[in-house]
Amino acid sequence: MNEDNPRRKKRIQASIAVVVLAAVLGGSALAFSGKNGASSASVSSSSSQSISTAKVNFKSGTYSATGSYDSPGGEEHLKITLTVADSVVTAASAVSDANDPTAQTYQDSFISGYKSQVVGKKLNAIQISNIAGSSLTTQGFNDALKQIENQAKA
Amino acid sequence: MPLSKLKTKPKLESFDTVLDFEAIGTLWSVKLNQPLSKTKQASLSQSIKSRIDAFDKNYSRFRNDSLVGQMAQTKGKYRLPDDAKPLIDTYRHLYDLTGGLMTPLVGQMLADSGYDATYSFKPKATLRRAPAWDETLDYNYPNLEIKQTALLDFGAAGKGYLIDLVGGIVQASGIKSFSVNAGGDIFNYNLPASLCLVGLEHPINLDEIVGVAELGHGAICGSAINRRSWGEYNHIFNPGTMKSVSDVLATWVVSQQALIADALSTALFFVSANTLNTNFKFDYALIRRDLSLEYSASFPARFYT
Repeated sequence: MNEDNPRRKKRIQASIAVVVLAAVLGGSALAFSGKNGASSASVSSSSSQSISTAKVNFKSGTYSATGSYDSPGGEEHLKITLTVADSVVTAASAVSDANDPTAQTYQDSFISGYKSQVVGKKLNAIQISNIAGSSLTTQGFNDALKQIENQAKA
Repeated sequence: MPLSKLKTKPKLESFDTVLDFEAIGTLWSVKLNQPLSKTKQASLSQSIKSRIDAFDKNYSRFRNDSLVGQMAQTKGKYRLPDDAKPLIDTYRHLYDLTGGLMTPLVGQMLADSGYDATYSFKPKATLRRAPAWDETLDYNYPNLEIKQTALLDFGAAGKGYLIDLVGGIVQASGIKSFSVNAGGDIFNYNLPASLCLVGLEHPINLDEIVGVAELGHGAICGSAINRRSWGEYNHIFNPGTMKSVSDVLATWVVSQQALIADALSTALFFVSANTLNTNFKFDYALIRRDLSLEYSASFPARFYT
């Protein structure tokens, strides 16, 4: 079920954007170590959707940083590695840093929607072939329940 | 094709053949996407009802003459029926994953609370605790030793398993496209877009739905605390607190087997989806007491919010 998780991809891309931007701003809480020496970078385009076209003025080499972001389970960390050649990011990878197995599970977060409240729509307004819900009860069951309710009221 | 990618909504069609009947305390509807002669309908109905009957005779806690009924009265070593392994394996697995919250040993508590063989709905003054598995049972398929007598309850997953078995019968009879609906738990087999829409019942307003799932092939099972509720109780008990659950109102699980979908739809009242995720392949949605929604990323439905 998690093979194709667009949310995970988005998170990784967002984190990489954070890494790049942090370098521009002089690096906030990120430790940034580069193999061939880092230089402060100016980012010409910071599209978080296409890593491969982001132009940065890094010296060619491999850079890694640990980014953090908030998730329903708390703060989480991803270690991101960028390979830069001719000022173009040619490869990027993100590896989970979680020690806690629960956090590890959250890295591939299974939970998607949160907090929206559902509203109902009348059945006759919608066309469906089946309804899934709690087990329909039989007349015998309903009669027994009714008896009890009546006794409780008496 | 996912519903969202369709340019126009599929024109809803109806099933050519529908077999409706009551069994194991709920309403069944076996719907076939092809015409079938009256004779063949009767024969298929008979095969299905016989199979359900045989299952009930083994696993029902509502009859003294069932295997479960015997096990509640007499200790000893029992040889399990040929179909028992997937069912009891699933229960053992979930017993471990839920720390014992989901257990077949909750039968006596359910009966004491009033959900007994006579549907008395009169709770006893004290409910009996659900005993621990390893103190009560020694399970090594095909053998089950009853070390202490206990009333077993297979209500959480039994119906789902039976849906799979009935689906097998329909398949074996040559039907290529059909749906088995047992009171709101559903197995769809090779359904086209025009027959695959499943409404998700509102947990409070039972004449409404909160969303529509699309399921051409696979099982979707729902659990909710609405219908089987009486006094302070509903039929989903937390054996630790000895009270019925109240935080979650309804759950749905989609999986390849109805056995798993049914079992997990109950497990989700006790543990989070993430606890189950590494052990089973499924999608889910649930609604809490405040009507808030939670669902897995690929749960195949649109919700009204």
